[in-house]
Amino acid sequence: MEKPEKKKFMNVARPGSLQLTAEDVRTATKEEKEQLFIMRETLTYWKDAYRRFLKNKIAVAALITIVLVALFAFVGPMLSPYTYDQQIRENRYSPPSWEHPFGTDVHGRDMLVRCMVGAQISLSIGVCCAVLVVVIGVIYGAISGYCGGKVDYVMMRYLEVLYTIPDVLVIILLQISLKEPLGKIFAGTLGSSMISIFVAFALLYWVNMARMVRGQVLLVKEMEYVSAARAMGAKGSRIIFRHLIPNSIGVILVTAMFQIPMAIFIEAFLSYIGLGVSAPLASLGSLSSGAIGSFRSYPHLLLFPAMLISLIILAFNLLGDGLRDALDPRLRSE
Amino acid sequence: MISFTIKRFFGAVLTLFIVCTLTFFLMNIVPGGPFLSEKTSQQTLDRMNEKYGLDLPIHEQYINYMNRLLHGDLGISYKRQGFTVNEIIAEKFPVSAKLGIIAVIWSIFSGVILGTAAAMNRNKLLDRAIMFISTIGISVPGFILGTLLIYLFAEMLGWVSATDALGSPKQYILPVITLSMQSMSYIARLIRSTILDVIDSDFIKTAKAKGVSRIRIIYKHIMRNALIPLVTYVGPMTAFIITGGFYVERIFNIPGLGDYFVRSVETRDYPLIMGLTIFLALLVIVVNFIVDILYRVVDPRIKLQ
Repeated sequence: MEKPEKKKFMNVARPGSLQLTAEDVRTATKEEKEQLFIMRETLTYWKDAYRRFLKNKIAVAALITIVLVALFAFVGPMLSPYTYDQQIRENRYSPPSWEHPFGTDVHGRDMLVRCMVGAQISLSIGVCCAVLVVVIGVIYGAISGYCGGKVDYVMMRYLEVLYTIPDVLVIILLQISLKEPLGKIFAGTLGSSMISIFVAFALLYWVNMARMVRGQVLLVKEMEYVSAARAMGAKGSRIIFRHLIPNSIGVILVTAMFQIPMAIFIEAFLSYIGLGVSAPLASLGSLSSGAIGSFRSYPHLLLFPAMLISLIILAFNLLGDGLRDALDPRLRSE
Repeated sequence: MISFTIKRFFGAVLTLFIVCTLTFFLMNIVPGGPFLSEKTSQQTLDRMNEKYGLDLPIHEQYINYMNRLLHGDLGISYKRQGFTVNEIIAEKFPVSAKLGIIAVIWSIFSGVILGTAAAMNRNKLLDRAIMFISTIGISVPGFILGTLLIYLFAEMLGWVSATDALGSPKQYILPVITLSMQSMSYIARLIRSTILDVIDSDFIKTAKAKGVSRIRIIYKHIMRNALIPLVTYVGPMTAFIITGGFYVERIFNIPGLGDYFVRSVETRDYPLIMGLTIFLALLVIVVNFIVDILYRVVDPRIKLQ
């Protein structure tokens, strides 16, 4: 090994030389070949994004926070000695203590476990809404972008109409009118208010997602490999699902991530005006809005759910920012 | 430009039509009708149904309703006897509008200043601080923020009174801050990122090389570009501020339309809910329409297309 390298070095040292030696035409050894090929590990889009994401300390902290909150919400209730609707009469309005770290409420229910269940419901609402938005928005946007022309024009005009409909007002309407019919259908399983939030998201909130996906599809559509696929006779649905949507995953993920805090926020708002999940079930929004009246006497009832809901929304927003920076280098702010 | 305006106008009318229709049919799904909660005899119920035209088949009710809407009649309140929705709006809306307009102006003013300050000090302490505050502003639900503000400034520090709603200019401070926190934070982030996009472009470098002063570059070159996305945000912001009014007015005891809307939701006063929804929707749609037109005026690049 040593010798040929030395020889080579000498060759390089006198570049003008025309003199050829046997060393110059010898086949490369295995190590040399590897040195030639692996200059640096090749990075796929996802590996690159992953590396960028890990470098972003705030985003990683947000992700860890979300995982911890999710554990708190979904595993926590199993470890707690109380249930969310268990009333301990002699322990009403007790301040935080070792026995009840978050205190107890008006009926003597343990606030810690109520916050856990509340977080569970708030998170589920957020995630379900995001899934709905992804499914509807992606399909709508992909079809609109892929078909183009008149189809695209009509579909986009329809989006414009949806966009100007005041969404919260429609949610309130849905909430009021669907409460009883849905309450009968879904009696005992989910709150009817949760269902009408889902309905509202399915009706109105995918507009932004559809726009983003359409933009991305318009971009990808003109690339050579899509033309190649079409030339080989791939069907429209195959091109959409195999090429266009996978190449929009970054945009989809980022947009979906911002839907989660939005849904949690809207649920909290609805709880405040008395249209949230119904008792004895509780979301973080209904816990904190229910505690506002007695805030002066029992601040702990508001403080814990309010901090938790703000933390969740904050973490999802920061995670969304981090994902956007990682997945879409064009949108990076630095 | 004119054809665009006409097109958008019809779009706005169509949206309004959809909202009205949706409102009408959703309110008709509600089982039992509006008088169910009242303990009255069947005879009285029939008479009331007849009086309000509720005994007609649904399509006739729909036509009647739309016809009344066309003439600007939003209906009557069932719970507040003898009042029409129009009268209630005339009585309550000015209070909400005043608060809302102040909140809009404050959000834009403070949002633009904070965003510019953050972008001009990119990655320095000031930038981080502003971004931190604006992230918190987006993350804390308004009704929680409002409650905490009252507790801190009215009860603990005693700077303002918690009961005297909008009695003096000082009383506007807390409601306006609560109402504008979210849009202010959003605008600050928006302005910061658009400025950072513009700041590295060639025409800014040229201006710097020519020796144009820093203030003039910000004012003449950067702001003109950064303000364009802000115009599109005015539509969603109006909707935000209207729905924000629902809880802000309640927390701060302000007798405005938002508070009244929430109360009509609680008492299930259906015609009032319908009337107010349509009125507020009209407001949002009109603002969106104006913004759409304005956007073309502000951004000369779009005209070329």
